[in-house]
Order: sequence, then C-alpha cells, then structure tokens
Amino acid sequence: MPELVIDRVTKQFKNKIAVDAVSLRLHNGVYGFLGANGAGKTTLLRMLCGVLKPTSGEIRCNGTEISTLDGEYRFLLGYLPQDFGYYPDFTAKRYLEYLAACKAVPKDLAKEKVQEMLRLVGLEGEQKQKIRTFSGGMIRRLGIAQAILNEPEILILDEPTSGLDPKERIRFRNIISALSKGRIVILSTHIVSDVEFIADQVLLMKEGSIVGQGTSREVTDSVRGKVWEYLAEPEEADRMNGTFAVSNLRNEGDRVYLRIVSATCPCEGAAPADPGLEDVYLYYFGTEK
Amino acid sequence: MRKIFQEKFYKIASRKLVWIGLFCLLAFVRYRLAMLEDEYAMTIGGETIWGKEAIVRDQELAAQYAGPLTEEKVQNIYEQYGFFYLNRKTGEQNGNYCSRFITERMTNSRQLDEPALEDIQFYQGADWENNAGPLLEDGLRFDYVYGWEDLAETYGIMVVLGLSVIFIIGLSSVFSEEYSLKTADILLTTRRGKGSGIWIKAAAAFGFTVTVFLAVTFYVWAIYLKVFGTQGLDASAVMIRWGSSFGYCPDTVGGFLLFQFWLGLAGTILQTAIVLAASALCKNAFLAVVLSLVLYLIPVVWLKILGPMRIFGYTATKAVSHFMVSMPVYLSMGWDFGFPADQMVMHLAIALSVGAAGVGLGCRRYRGYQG
Repeated sequence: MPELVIDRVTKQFKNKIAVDAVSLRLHNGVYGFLGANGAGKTTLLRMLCGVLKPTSGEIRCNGTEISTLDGEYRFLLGYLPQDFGYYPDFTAKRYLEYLAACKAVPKDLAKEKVQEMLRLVGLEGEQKQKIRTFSGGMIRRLGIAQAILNEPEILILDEPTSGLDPKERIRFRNIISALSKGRIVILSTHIVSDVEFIADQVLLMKEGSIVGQGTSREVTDSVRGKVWEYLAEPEEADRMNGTFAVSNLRNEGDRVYLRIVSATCPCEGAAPADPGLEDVYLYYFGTEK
Repeated sequence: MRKIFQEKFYKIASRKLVWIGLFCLLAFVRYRLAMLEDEYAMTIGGETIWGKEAIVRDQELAAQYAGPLTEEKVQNIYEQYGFFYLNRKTGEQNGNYCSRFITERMTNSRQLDEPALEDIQFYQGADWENNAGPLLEDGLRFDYVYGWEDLAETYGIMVVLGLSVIFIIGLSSVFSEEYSLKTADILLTTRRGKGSGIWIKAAAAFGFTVTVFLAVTFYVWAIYLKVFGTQGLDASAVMIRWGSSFGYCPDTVGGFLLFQFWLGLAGTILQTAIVLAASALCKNAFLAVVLSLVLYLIPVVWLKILGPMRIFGYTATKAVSHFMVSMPVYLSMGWDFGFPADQMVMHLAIALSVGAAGVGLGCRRYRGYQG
C-alpha cells in the first residue's frame, strides 16, 4: 500500500505562487481538497500526477521521489483532470482500450477490464457510440472509467463531479467510496457535499496553502461557535446580508431566516447553530465582510 | 504496444485532408499520364499515329537501335526518318522518338528560335565535340525512355513535393493535438505515456509516411509501367534529361529512378522528423502546419534569395547552402543537382543528424509538457 509524502512543495508561475510550501503525508483513504477557484488545488494535483514539476520541494512515493520512480509511479496512478481530454471520433470502448494499452494493462485483461469499467460507470450501452455524441455527464463518467481502468493505488480526481446531475453525483460518490479501500484517493472540488460524504480527510486550501485539515467532523468543529441563526425583519436582513457572510437566507412568513458565519455574534438575538461543511467553506473562502 | 501504434497510426490515417490530398495528387498524376498517352504522336511514312499505338510503334523502332549508340546508328536514323520537326504554333509534328532524340541532342535545333525543318542540321566542329560527341564516346546505351523521362519529372518533383505538403498536414497533429484536446494530461500520467508511448507515436508517424510513400511510389510506377512497359529501364541514365554526366548519377535509367526513390524516401523521413518536432513545439495543429511549412520553405528562400547575396561570406554561405540542400525539399531532389557522391553522403549524414535531433526534440518537448 503506497504512502505519498508531499514535502514543502512549492510551485511558482512567474510572480505568482500557486502552491506555497505544502507538506502532507497521505496514506489509504479519501482526501478531499476543498478550496475556491485559484486556491492551487489543480496545480497541486498536477504535481502529484507528475505532469507539473514543483519549483521546490519533493513528492515521494514510498520514500522515493516520484520523478525517479517515473513509469513505476505512473503505473500506480489514475488521474481525471479538471478538463478531461478525449478523442471525439473514438468510441468509448476504443478510447478505453487505447488507454488500457497506455496504462500497460495486460492485453488479455484489457478487454474484460474495459467492459467492467463501462458497466461500472453505466456506459455499457453506449460503448460503441462516438464520444462526440456524449452528454457532459457521460463524458465525465468516461473520464472516471479511464481513471480507474488500471485499478490504481493512487487515484487523483480533479473536480470529478462538475457537470454531473445529482443522480450521477450520487452514483459517482458511491463508486469512489467502493474504490477507496486500500487506495489513496485524492479529489479536489468546490462542491462541499462531495467531500462531506466521502472524504476521510478534508483539506482546506487557500492561496496555495493548506489552511485546515482533519476529518469532516474535525473541520466542522473548527468553526463551532462561529455559525449563527437569526430571524430578521426584511430590511434588517438586507443590511446583514451585506455585512456578514450568510450561508443561508430564506423567507419565513413576514420575516427572513438568516444563517450567518461570523467569528463574533452578529447581532443581539442571534443564536449559535451547529456548523456544517458549507459553513466551514464560507468561513474560510467566503467573501470577507 | 501494438495497440498504441495501431491507434496512433489510425489517428494519422483517418484525417480526411490527407486522403483528399492524396486523391487529388494521384488523380492529377493519372490524368497527366492519360493526356500524355492521348496526345502522344509519331509520324512514319507520312502517316501520323496517335496514342498507345504510337507509343508501341516508337518502342519498336527504338528497339532496332537499342544498345550502344554509334555514329552509324545516328546516321541511319537520320537517313531513315530525317530530323524531328515540331511546329510550335500549330502543334504539328513530324518524326518519331529516334529522330527526336538525335534532333534534340545532336543538332542545332535548340539553338534556333522556332527553326524551320530545313534550318536544322547536325552540330559542327566544337559544338559536335561538346554535345553529341560525349553521347557517342561514353558508350551510351540507347533505347526508348520517353515514359521514364516523364516519370522522373512527375515522380521526382510533383509527387515528392505534393507528398511533403500532405505529410505536413497529416503529421502536424501528432503531438499538438494531444495538447489542444488536453489528452496529453492523461496520456502523460500513464505507465507508458512518458516513455515508450512517445516513441511509439513517433514510430507510427514514420510508419505512416513510409507506407504512404511506398504505396504512392508503387502506384505511380505501376501506371507508367502499364503504359510504357519495361523497355528502356536498362538504357543509359543520360538518355533522360536529368541523367547527369556530372556528379553522382546511376548508370541506367532504372538506377536513376531508384536513386530518385531513395532520395525521396530520405527526404520524407527527414520531413517526418521535422514535422514531429514542430508538432511538439506548437499548442495546436494549425500552428504546427504553419511552422512546418515555414521550416520546409526556408531552404528555398536561402538558395534562391539569401544564399546568392553571400551575406555571410563565401565559406559560411557554402556551408549553410550544403546544410540547406540536406533539408527535405532539396534532399529529395538531390538527383537534379549533380552533386558528387561524397557530397551526397555528407548531405545524407546531415539529414540523419537533423532527423535524429528533430525526433529527439519532439519527444523530449512532449514528455516535458506541463500544460
């Protein structure tokens, strides 16, 4: 079972530091990177895949630098990029068979494995269709199929559920949960519920750094006492919405229910509420007000 | 491995533009040959014969004089058929292949501007010694080579240049498409993606160009063989216009055509390597096509414009010119330059080095792609 060590990894593009001295130790389990766009999640994941080279620092797999392991490391890897690339004129089956060859899946197993993956992601019936005819969700599912085709020990999924409808998202989450045993699964997303349901460890990333880390409960607890509920008059609600980070706002009769994320009590009469991961997200990444 | 090769080969081969280009090129060659056959005429006994029948008659006549050309044979041809005459205004002609050969190579017809038949006469004195003499002294083996002369022009220039452009279009996407489709991100994270997978891509590109080059060569030679048969392939190479007595040139017409083939193949292989490098350097196929075309045409610009200016002085200009004639556009037409054998070898060695560097650069660049 692999162990990934990210040791003070930094990536700088010209004057912008995309990832800033990140250090992590990853074992089996699902790691969910949560962060706003531009937080450095994709850059970090691309470095973990070996596509990008760190400006400084090292990524080691079982004690050896991944660039030294080269093909051996990639043999352990499954990767679904944020922008999933495919050949529009290939059929789903042909595309997966091609990738099976690239991933060095033994020839006698490849066809069987491709069918298994197509079944798993629900594309068995469309396997002979050209990918150009697929919907966004189907393409995403194909992306997931290719990522797990070689039964990777390290599975890296960048925004895997973007473009999926709720049913497909649930299906995907179940697939990942089923796959997570004995593997390192790393996923980045800004869809909080994905992380909430399947991640063993949540990693909050902001401006290239890890600003929070722990189980879903631990991370949630970190904002306990910073989430408030309040029933406000409509005018007051407008004012508070412009002043505080509001994670929920709904009309209740002639008043407005507000869920506010704030380090201090936002107003008299506001009651503390149980925090959720969305509150955590808003606390760390919401607009500072 | 085989699967990767197959898919990459298929991806290159499935480009419609490539097949449209090939179809147009081969259709043009076939049409040109059909026109040549249709308009072919020879006159014998006051009667003008056209088309395939004329070719057969000319071949029969030429066969009577086949073998080493002697003054007696030349005299005999002249006495039997006279000089060949072509009225350039009306297109009317009088003569056959044999009379045409002696008229074009041994008379003043080319020195005269629209000569009348009675103005044409054998070279005299020094002109004879310089022009006709070598043909008789060097043991020239005469035979009917009209078709091979046309093939040398069609194949050596039009087909090879046409194929170069087609290959540029077909191969420019080998690496660049992986960037633009964003498939590079996935492929480069696979077991073989950064190693053998890249070399297999390059191998598929070479496999495609060599296969197409061989197939087109086979087709073009086959249609000429169908019309002209095999007669004249063992005639002296100097019988055809480009068969140079200067520099390296195979002895026979067949040898010359093979020489053209090998040079064309070498140029194609080098062209493939250069396009692969361009493809790896560009983020999309269109840019790769533009860059490949620019690289393809630089030697022409050098030899036609910059070289003659000698802006770098004689020695450097000469060195650069040798480099430029080792590039695909001129390497494949090296048969037209009359280079000595040692220079040909040097050009091939330069081409090999550039080709290896091109493939190395392309593969390295693609391997290091970071988005």
